Amino acid sequence: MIRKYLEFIRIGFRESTAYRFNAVMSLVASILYLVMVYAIWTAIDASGELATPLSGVLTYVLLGQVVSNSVFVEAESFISERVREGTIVNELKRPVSLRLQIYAYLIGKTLFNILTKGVPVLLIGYIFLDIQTPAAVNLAGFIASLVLSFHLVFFFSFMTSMLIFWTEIGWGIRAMRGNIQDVFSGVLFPLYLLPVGLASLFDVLPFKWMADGPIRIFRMDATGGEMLNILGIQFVWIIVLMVLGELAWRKAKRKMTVQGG
Amino acid sequence: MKERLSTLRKYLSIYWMYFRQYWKTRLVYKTDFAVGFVAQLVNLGASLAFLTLLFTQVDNINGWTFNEMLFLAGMGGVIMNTHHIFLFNMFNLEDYIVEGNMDRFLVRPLSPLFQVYADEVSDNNLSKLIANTALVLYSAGQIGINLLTPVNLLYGIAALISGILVFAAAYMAFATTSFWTGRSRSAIWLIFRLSDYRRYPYNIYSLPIQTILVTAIPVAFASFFPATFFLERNSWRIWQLASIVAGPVLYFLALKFWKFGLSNYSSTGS
Repeated sequence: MIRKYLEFIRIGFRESTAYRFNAVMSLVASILYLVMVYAIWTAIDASGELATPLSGVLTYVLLGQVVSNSVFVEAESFISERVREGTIVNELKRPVSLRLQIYAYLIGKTLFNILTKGVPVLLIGYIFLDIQTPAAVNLAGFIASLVLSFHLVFFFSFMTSMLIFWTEIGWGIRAMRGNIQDVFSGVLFPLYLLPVGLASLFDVLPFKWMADGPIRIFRMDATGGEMLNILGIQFVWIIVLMVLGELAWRKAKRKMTVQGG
Repeated sequence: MKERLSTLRKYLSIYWMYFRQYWKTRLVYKTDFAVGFVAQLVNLGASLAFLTLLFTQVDNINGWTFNEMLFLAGMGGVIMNTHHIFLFNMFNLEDYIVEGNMDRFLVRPLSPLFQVYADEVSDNNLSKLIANTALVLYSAGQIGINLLTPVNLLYGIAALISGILVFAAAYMAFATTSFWTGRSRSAIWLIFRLSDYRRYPYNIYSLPIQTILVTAIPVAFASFFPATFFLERNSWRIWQLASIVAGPVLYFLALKFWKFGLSNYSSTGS
């Protein structure tokens, strides 16, 4: 049973290596983005109005790229390719669950992404930004939190990808989810800078735990009980999104029958 | 002159046919269109959200207020998205070459360049064009810029046309390399990425980046410099004037390169 899924992990990894040029390009994109953001925050700091140290903001933004490059996976492409070509029915005939299949496949992709896009950006941080390695407990917590982030993003994108059974178009759904996720997760803007009123909005959404959580653990902003708190909330959100995704999947399956596929 | 005019009329009427044909096939997929339309709006919304969040920290960036930044973003957005809607297909040139469709263009009694452009309308960018136009009007109103004075109107139209040509020149120059290499998309994709830089004041960047933004990927001519004209930042005067010349000049050079590339093109034979 497990072996079958290991095979899907392998496929995900191998497929990424086939498109390794894409990996290079998205690493370049990440660097260009960081260069731009560096200029923006430096200009803000130069005006003397920034209330917190610039280095902290830059570290946060860079870690945001590390996290999103590594674990921000998407199920939309997988589903939309198969819905468009009608081969989604074949996936259902296989003696493996569709969801576990995508899950395993995306683990493979993530392992590849960590190596080619996550670690290189972290290294850039060590070279140019003087990032501090966290204490052993927090390093372990960071890795655990990153694993949970992966699940959070996976279940969220699986849920939204069910919309593809109705819209039949994947890139639009993926782009919208990605954009919203970037704003609310902290990838775009350090959440510790948010004014109080806005912060409470971000608190009630699941996105914050996709990037801000692990970043805070890495930066030692959250230690001990606070760190466990983050991991706990991530876990709760995973369960919630898993259930919502299952409900959406059931609806989608019925939709498929209607189509007669 | 008379001959030129009739050629122009011919191309316009053919473009209109292509255009109608495109929309007929496009509107078969209405949800596809609608999702793309909304997705682009969300994308713009995300970058405006970032700007808004930045301004919870400060009340100006390098002397630029929130409304001025909106104006800058909107202005660059109008220029870029107008280019994208009509001229974006250059991005796909490598496909035409690799799949052998370029040969079909070459045997027709029409300019191959025209055929590449006319083959597709990037309607996804339509919502962004509308939203960016609204952004320009809104921020101009907030700042108190009258866009309808004769000088502003004249400069605005010149800057719009020139800016579109700036983008077109860059896309064409990068795409032309695929006549030799068979692949240019990743090079063009660099323009795409660096186009984000246009949303922020030019002088926040370090010298190497500033240089790139007026040479290899000259988007500063299609956003920042023209915006300073309307905002009456007169220290940029030379650059403001350069902005209305840059488009035609760069496009002319790119066209030379395109023709050179085309003459070197040998079919893939597929």
